[in-house]
Amino acid sequence: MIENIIDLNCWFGNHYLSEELSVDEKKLKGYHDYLQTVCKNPVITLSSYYSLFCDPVGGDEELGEFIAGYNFLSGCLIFPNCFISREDEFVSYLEKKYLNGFRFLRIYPKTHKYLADARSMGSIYNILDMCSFPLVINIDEIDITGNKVIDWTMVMDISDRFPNIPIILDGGNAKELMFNGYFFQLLENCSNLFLESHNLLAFNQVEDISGKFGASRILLGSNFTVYPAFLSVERIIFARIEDIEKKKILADNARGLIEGIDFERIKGI
Amino acid sequence: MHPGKYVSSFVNSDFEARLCNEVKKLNFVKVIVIHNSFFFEPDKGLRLTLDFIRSNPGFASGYLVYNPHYIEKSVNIIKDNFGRNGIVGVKMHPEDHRCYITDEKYEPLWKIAIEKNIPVLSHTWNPDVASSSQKYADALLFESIAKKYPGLKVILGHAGAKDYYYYKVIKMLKKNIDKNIFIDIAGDIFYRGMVELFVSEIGSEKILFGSDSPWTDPLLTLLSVLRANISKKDKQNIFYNNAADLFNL
Repeated sequence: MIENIIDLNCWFGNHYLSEELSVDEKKLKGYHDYLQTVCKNPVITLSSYYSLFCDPVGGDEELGEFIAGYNFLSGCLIFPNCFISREDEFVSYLEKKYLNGFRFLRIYPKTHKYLADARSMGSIYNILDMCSFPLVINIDEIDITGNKVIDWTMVMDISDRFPNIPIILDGGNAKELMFNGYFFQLLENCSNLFLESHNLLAFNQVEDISGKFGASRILLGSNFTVYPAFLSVERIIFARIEDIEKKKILADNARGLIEGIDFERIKGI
Repeated sequence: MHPGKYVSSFVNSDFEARLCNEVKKLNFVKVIVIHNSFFFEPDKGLRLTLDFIRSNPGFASGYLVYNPHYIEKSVNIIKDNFGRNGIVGVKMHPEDHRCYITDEKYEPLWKIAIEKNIPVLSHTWNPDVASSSQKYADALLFESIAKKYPGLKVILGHAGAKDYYYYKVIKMLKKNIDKNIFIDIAGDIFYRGMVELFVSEIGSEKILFGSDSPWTDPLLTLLSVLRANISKKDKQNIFYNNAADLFNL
């Protein structure tokens, strides 16, 4: 049995378009039960649908209260666009959320309508950079036309200018199986870039990336409840790579990023 | 399964050399391949398909590709090759070929498919996506084709495809359950509960297994059936029995 799993891409709450996609406590418990059949210590990182669709501050406040009740849950913040041009307040917000159990930050520039490039979001990225807070970027959110015209150079630019931010690309609903060319260029040029695993669907994609750039560049994400519970986890468990590499993808890499978060560096400035 | 180069994808992957070995390790006993080159260059596609089948005796069979912009050539290739040298079906790709499923250019295909009892596999996809060429491949368009040609055996590739379009596809299939319309579960369509829903709504006898490799890793499609909450008999139907019947394997 596997010792540890950290899933950094699971959603919680009501999805306003689909009851199927909604995740309540019972459904979450079912997912956790499944994880316990393959792993001793699973940790699920939740993002809030309410934060995504309606109110990032209110949604993540509720999510923080919820995850506090479970030792196997952590949180992924959704960046509230109300903090644009209020970066001083964002520092204390981020630290408070960190203390509430949030370990990652997602941005939704397309859905929430703001610019996400290194210049426009520089002051926010600077804060993340100072404390090495992991940033999750959903590829759909930087797909300019919605038809696979993705702003890859923007990601590269953020990576260049903020080398202490671990940047994690989440495949969302994108056809990531087409993007190996882009991924290889990004991984080659951006040492602080990581790929979340759920949409690395193409034949041998996990193995090819792991072989070329090391398993340390891939992090487990389930995309539950869009995908069934077993799919992303067992893709890694049965991957054609060494056990030590599986271990990294399933938990060690995420743990390393979490342990790298350091708010003392901000306080020292 | 798709051997062959596809320039817009799979950069830095040597999948061709590895794919057959990997699916054999996963206990695949047969694969029916569509060579990527066949969509663009029929003569080369045919040659490479036959080469692949010859290189994998007893394991690989193949599809021919019908190109609606080269009707005479496509029909002749079908006449000359179907039922020989491991060729067991015909693939059509309305999106790649930018031709609606209902276009009259496909009429010769329907006719020869019925005449020779050829299973036709069509790429299908949901039309409401940003990739506008997917509108040509709307699975629901097969309803009118199946009404006009009730003897036609057609497989809706990717089960109609993404973004929960399969709910509409299921509705159409239930209305036409007496027709020979099948679906396959190939591709990046790993929605939670999808396999179970298809089985409960249209029956496992209408569902075929497809990996779409290398577009998706065969391990994932295998898992999606193995782990589905359906009976062993349903799994056997999806994995093997239905294809064996349909393609006379």
